[in-house]
Formats: sequence, structure tokens, C-alpha cells
Amino acid sequence: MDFKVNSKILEKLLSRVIPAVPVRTPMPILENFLFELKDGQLNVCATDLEVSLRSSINVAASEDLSIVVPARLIYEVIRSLEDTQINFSFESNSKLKLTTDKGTYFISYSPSEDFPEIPSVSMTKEILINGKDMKKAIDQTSFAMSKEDMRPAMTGTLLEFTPDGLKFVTTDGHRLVRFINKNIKTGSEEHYIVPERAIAVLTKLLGETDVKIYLGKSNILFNIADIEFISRLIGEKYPAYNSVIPLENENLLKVNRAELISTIKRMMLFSSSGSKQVKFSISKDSLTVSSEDIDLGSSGVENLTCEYKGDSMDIGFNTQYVNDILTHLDDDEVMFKLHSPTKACIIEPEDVLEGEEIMLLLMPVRLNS
Amino acid sequence: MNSTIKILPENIASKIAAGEVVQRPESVLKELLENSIDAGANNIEVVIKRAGKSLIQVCDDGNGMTEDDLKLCILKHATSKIIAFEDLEVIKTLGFRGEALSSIAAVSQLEIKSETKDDEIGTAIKNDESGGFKIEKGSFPKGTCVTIKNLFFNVPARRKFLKTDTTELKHIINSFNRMALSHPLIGFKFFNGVDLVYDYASRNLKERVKQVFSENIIDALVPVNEKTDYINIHGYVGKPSLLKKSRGDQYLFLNSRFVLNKNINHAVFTAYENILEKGDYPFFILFLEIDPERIDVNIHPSKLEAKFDDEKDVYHFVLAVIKRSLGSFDLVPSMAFSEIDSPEEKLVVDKFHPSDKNDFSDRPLSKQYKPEIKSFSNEEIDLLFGSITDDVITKSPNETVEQPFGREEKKEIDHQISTAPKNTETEVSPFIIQLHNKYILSQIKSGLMIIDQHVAHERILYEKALGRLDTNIPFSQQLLFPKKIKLDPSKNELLKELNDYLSRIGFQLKLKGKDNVLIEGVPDDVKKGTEEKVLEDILEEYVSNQREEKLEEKDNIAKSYSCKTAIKAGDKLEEKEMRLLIDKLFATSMPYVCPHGRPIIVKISIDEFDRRFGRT
Ligand SMILES: Nc1ncnc2c1ncn2[C@@H]1O[C@H](COP(=O)(O)OP(=O)(O)OP(=O)(O)O)[C@@H](O)[C@H]1O
Ligand SMILES: [Mg+2]
Repeated sequence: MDFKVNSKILEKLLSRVIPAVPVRTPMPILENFLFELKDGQLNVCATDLEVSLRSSINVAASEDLSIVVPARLIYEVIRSLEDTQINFSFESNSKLKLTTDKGTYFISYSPSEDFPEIPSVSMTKEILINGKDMKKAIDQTSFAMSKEDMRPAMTGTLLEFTPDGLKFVTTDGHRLVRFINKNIKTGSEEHYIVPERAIAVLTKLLGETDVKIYLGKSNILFNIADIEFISRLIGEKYPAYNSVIPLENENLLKVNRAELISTIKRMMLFSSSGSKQVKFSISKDSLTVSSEDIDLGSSGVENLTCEYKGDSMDIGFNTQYVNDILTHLDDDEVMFKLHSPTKACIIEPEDVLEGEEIMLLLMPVRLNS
Repeated sequence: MNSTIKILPENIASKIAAGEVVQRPESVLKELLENSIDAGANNIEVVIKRAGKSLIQVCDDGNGMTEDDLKLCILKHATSKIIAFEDLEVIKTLGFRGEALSSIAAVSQLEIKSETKDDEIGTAIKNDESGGFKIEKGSFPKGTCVTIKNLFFNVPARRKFLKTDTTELKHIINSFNRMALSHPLIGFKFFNGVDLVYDYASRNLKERVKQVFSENIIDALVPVNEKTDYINIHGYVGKPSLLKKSRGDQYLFLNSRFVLNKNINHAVFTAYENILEKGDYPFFILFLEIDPERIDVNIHPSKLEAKFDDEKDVYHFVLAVIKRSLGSFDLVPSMAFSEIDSPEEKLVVDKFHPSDKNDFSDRPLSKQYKPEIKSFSNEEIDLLFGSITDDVITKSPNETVEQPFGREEKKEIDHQISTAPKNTETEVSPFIIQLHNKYILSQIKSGLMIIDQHVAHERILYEKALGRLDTNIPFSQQLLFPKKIKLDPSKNELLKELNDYLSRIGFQLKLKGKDNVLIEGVPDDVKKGTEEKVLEDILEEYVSNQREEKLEEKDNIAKSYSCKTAIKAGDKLEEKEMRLLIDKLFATSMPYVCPHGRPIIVKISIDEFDRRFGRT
């Protein structure tokens, strides 16, 4: 059985699917692509059991077939070929024979029985979201997912469908980000936790194209152009984050984001090993940022122009966290809404786009008095 | 010379710590050597017969005494070393009581021959038949020669209590060696009968230490040297391979006087932290120099005890200096494989390395590091160095030694001096890998370095915690979702007690109601999501440390904290994390031993590999 395919078209197909191939796995079968020929379509699948990718192209094949082929080998071969026609033929001795004008390549394949089944998700309910909007939401929130798997819920991104819109929430217990896309209104209230691995793959796939989201009980499917991306969901309770969002933070600090980032970058040099903390000394229209490495006996202090209305206070933060937060915002000015040196601080951009809302919460580091 | 002997008036004499001076031959030798040293001798010769029971003779080339002095020196409270009461506050000589010669003369047959530099002719004083003294003139070598015969001939009770010759001689030799160590610039000779046993030419301390112990002991020692306005310290401390199972090799010299001081010993012990196993004694030779005004040696007739005006400061000074000295040296055990091919590939310790300076010490792992190693409690150290009683001099660590002159072989000495590898060795390491998520393997110049990731991190966190406890500059990340835990009543009580310490480390705790605790903030080393567990584990660990090791509160907190927050065996580390861990480890004061006394680093030399692969 033979079919022909252009090398560049096939490379594109494989490159979309290969992100789901695990690098190291105790299950060698997962290091393969599942090739399915059906009704003149070549379906290529890969999975690491947590996320799966599927994409297809039309080919002129006369028979149906289902085999697994070593993913990296075939991908690298195809990728290194010039724009050329490849003839696929499946030999009876479990060898896949690729022929081009350059030469002939044999790749062993195996039957597909052992390849795990890709979970199916009911396509009845569809949510449509613009790819760029989705990417933005993920870009601005993903950094705050927890890297420690002690609380599995926090290792993912919460997708919360509410009457106000679709909320993306991440937290690691020290900080929290909530991004709202107010345009996505499904009418129903539900929430799902998407694992970090899926978010990482998604950021690679997202682009201009609209994304169709289908939600199942334990899996979520994203349909992006001709790619199907399926991920397991984290079946845990997300922490009740709404109750920790302060309502009375009335001390308002407005500061230029780029300037503050530049200051924080220098402060990080003084707070990398020992204290890791940066101190904001704030009084009327005055912000002093300082950091000290006690072990090395070095320290830095800078004054920034700002607008501040509220009680004077000294408040400490983990320098790295401040840096993370500031670099994931994109407005010129940022607002720090403070309550007191030990209570959560809200950080927001001064202006947001129509239909969006972003809020970051940062817990301070206690300063010794 | 002008220092003529005077009899101290009663009011001064009564201020001097009084008591028995002569208990055994060793005390006689000690007093005579002190006198020779005080007399500015450059060379001292000792002759001993029958372990000093029949003869003790000390001859020096010091200032000597005039006839007048000789007549006086054997009298009670006769001394040239102090005149006024104030002199007692600034004692600069080893003797100051004017007691030694008179006490010795009272229990022995004494003869002193002396000739000063200025006199043409010398004088001898000796017992006459009637029990008094007679003076004879004669020509003698410049200096003084004191001969003591038949010690305790007139005190049978004393004589009866003397130990065997072997034991008494052992004491004498210990005393002689202490003196020789304390004054390396003086040449010392020791004759047992007619045999010249020790012949120490005038040298510096390092050479003297070699003379007294052995040539290669220096390889097993870490030099100590620190000068401040107020106090100086220099000398040597032993690397762990030189830990002794006996007391006795601890030499503390205060302004060149051998003294016993429990506190300083404790400071040295503490500096070794848990390198010491129960029953291990660190070897040290330390010279402290402090303004005589700030110390008092006039507190015990043995002159072996001293009081410091600022005992605490001295303690901390010694502790800090020794700790730093030890920390800056590579005390890593280097492992070699057993010659016998056992199926389990047991690691045993390499026997002896000739001076291959780029190698490291071999600390017998299997034998000396047991997991249940205890650190010394104050009580234990008290027992080891019980405060001085009158019989302190008669207590000997080595009562059982059979051959007084057979120097103990220091088989264990196989350290080479080499400063810690620091980053020079590790930074350039071309590979660094994690073995079974447990050990970090890295190439170093001399071969392979293996680090136990958990104990390495423990060491780092332990010092960090101690630092925070001391400086009270915590790092307390406040939690978005405070954690509530319920403790049993005893833990709850403990938590209340320790809350101050815990908050210094960075825990922000709120006690709620009877037994609820709200964790509002945690130190940076607490992994997200483990807040409750870590706190409970720390309390648990604290209790068991308290029960089993009687640790001091602060130390216990730091140990419990580091143990429970450190990365565990089984935690996967990225290369970057491993490199950071190694860097931080070598920035600690003691990168080689964890707070519980387990080794952190083991090295296998390339020679060992070569040997295993038959490349030799
Ligand atoms: N080897 C010696 N060379 C010169 N003078 C000596 C010598 N031995 C003793 N003397 C003199 O004899 C005096 C008495 O000695 P003795 O040892 O009895 O007392 P001390 O050394 O003054 O005090 P202590 O009782 O504390 O030893 C000394 O003060 C010293 O002047
Ligand atoms: Mg004397």
C-alpha cells in the first residue's frame, strides 16, 4: 500500500503533534506517533497520557491502516528533507519505506494495539474564543502556577466560567493572578483546572486562529485549526480565592512600571542569596525601594517618583515575585493597592483593554521592626 | 641580676592560694621546670631515676642565684617574683608563691648548685646531717642545678601512695612534654637514668610539635591563628582523624602556662560540632595570650587553673576562631574500596597516604560515623572536664600505658594539608549528575566528589537558621491562604514556648483558642503546600532531639528546622540547583559534616579508580 505526500506538508503536520511526545518515559510506546490511515486521511496522534495531540491531512491512500512509528526518528528525517515528494509504502516485514528522489529510508513500525487510547471529549457544547485573547490570558497568568505538587489544584490554571466572563486564575499560595475575559459568556457557571503541562503546550499552539473549547468530565479538548489538543483536567477543589481578595485596600501607589522593573532588577542583585526581600518605604508621593544582603554586607537603595495617597508604611516583598508580576503586566503605569505591611497587596495596571480585567495579589514578606 | 629573693610579709602570703604543692614526683619536676623557665633558661636538662622516686634533677643555664638568694629560696614564702600585693594582679611568671622549693625541701633531700653570670664562683646548698642546710662554695656551670633525692623519704604515707614506676614516669613525661610544648624556644633534654630519651633543640612551635609527637602529625593538624587587641590565639587543632578516644591530648596554654579550663575545652568541643562522637576527644595545642591583668591564676595552689575577667568573650572568641579554622580546611573523608572483593563492595578506609598533598583526609566512615551519633551535652562535657579538684594532677588519662617511652604510634595520621576545595575545584566541574535522586556526583581535581544532597542542604539551612535566630532578621512570606492546624495539648504548649524562636526563623503563627494554630507566614525554605506538615514535623523533631540529645533550645530549633525543610533523598534536582547547592555548601563554615555529624562529602581519588582498574 502506497501514498505520496509533500515533505513540507508532512513536516508541518508532525511538528504540531510532536509536543505531546514525552522526552523520557517509562512507556516506550509513547515515543511513537500513531499513524492512522482512514478514508483517505492520515491521522497522526501523540500522547504522554496527560496531554494528547492529533492532526490530519488528506492523502490518496487506498486502504485503511493503523500503526505506530518512532516519532523522533521519522520527524527528524522528514524535517531534514528538502521540499520534495515522499512516497510512503508499508512493507509486509513491518518496515515503512520512504522513497524520495534522494534515496530510500526504512523505518520499523509496530502494530497500534498497544498505543493508549486518546480520551474522547463530547463535542456537544462548544465555547469559542479568539486565539490571541486566549494566549494573552495564559501569558499573563501562567507564571503564578505553583511548581510544588503538594496541592495539585494550584499546579494548574483555573478556568472559571461565570456570568461576568471567563476567568483565568493561578496562585501558588503566595501570590495570585486573576484575568477576566468579559466577552466569553456561556450562561453556565462551571470551572475546570487545566494542568501546567497543557498550558505549556497551548502557548505553543495558540495564534491568530480561533479556539474551540469542548469540556468533558475529566478532559478538555481544544480545537485549533486542524489540531485537536486534549488534556486531562485536575480533579481537585480549587482554593476559595475570592475570600482572600481584599476589599479595603485604600492606600494607592501609582508608579511607572518600566522604572520600577529597572529598580527591582538591581535590587535582585542585593537580595538573591540571603534575604530575597525588597523593602518599599512609602509615604506621600515618595517611594524608596531598598534591599540588603546581610551575609555579603551589600545593599542598595533607590528613590522613585510616584503618586501615593495613604498611610506611610514600610512593606517587604519577595523581590523575585515583584519582578515576576511587573514583567507580566503590560501597561505603562501600575497601581499598588495596599492595606498594611502584613496584608495582601493588590497590583493592577492603570488601564486595561475593553473587555478585560487583570488583578494580581501579592502577599508581603514580614519585615522585622 | 637584681631580682633578689625576699620573704613575703604575712598579709601578702595569706592572699596566695595555699595548699599542698608536692603530691608526686611529677609535681616536683613541674615546679623545678617552672623555676628554670622563670630564670630565663635557654637550655634545660632533666635527669630522672626510678620515676623520680630516687632522683629528680633539673639543670638550667638561666640567671642563677647568689649565695644570699640560695639561702633564702628554700624558705617559706621566699620569692623574687612578687613584692607587693598588686603584683599578684599581673602575674607574668610561672611561679609567684615562693612555696615550691620550701615545700620540696621539706619532703626530700635537696641540693642546689648555682652560679650567676656576674659571680666568679658559685654556691651550693644542701642538707646537712642534722636536717639543716649547709653552704659550700665551688665552681659550677652558669645557671642552676637542682637535685631532689629520695622524695617523701620522711613522709611514708605519701610514699606508699605513689603509683608504679611506669605510671609515675608517665606523669613525669607528660609534664615534661607540656613544658617543652609551652616553650619551644627553650632546648629540653630528658634523661631516664643515663639514657637520653628526649632531646628537643630550640625551635618554633611547629617543629616542637613534631619533636614531641611525630614528624607527620602536622599533616593531621589545622593551624589556628588570630590576633586581636585584647586576646591572641595560636596553635593547632587536630583534624577529625586525630580524634582520640582519651582525654589528655588537649593542651591549653594561657600566657605560656599550661592550664586546665573546662570552658575553653567546651568551646573547642563545640567548634567541632558533631564531628565528635561520644568518647571522641579533639586534639589541640592552643596558646592564648591575654593581658595578665585580665586573668587570675592565683586561685589554686596547683597553678593549673585560671579565671578570665571576660569568660564569655573568651569562650566565644575561641569557639569562633576554631570553627573558622576547621571550616577552612578540607576535612573530607576520602574513600577507597576494600581490597577484598566482597559482593556488597563495602567501602573501607584507605590506610595511609604518603604526602600526596592534593588528597584529603580519610575519615573512617563505617566505624566513626554512626547514625546515632550524639553531640555532647553540657553535662557530658562537665563530666569529661570536671572542675578541678586537688587530685586533678593525679588523674591520668593513660594509666594503662605499659612502655613509658614507647611513643604511641599515630597510625591514624593521614591527613594532608590542603585548603577546602572551594569553588576552584567544583566550578569548573565538567559534569555534575544526580545519582538515584540522592547523591550528587561531580568531578574534582583529585577525582570524584560525592555529596549527600539532603545533609548538604541541611548544613546550609542549619547555619542559615542559626543566623536568623541570632540576628532576628527573619524572612517570613505571608500566606494568601493561612493554614489552620490542630495540635495536641503538649505540642501546643511547646509551640507557645518556642514561638519566639520560630518567629525569628520566619514562622508567623497565631494561637487560636485552645489548640488551634493559624500559620500566617513561613520561612522561604518551606515548600508551598507543606506548611502544616513542616511545622508539625519540626515540633516532633524538636521533642525527640530534646529527649535524646538534650540539645540547647536554639541549636535544637535550627537542627529540627533544617532537617525538616531540607531537600530529601528522592528529590529530583536540576543541574542548576545542584551547582547552587554545592556553592552554598562551600560557603558554610563546615561543609563536610552535617549538623547531626554525618559526612556530607565523600571523595574517591583518581588513584583509587586507577587501582581498581588495574592501571597502577
Ligand atoms: N632555677 C632557678 N634559677 C634561678 N632562680 C631560681 C631558680 N629556682 C628558684 N629560684 C629562685 O628561688 C625563688 C623561690 O622559688 P620557688 O619555686 O620556691 O618560688 P617561686 O618560683 O617564686 O613561686 P612558686 O612557689 O609559685 O614556684 C624564686 O622566686 C627564684 O628567685
Ligand atoms: Mg617556682
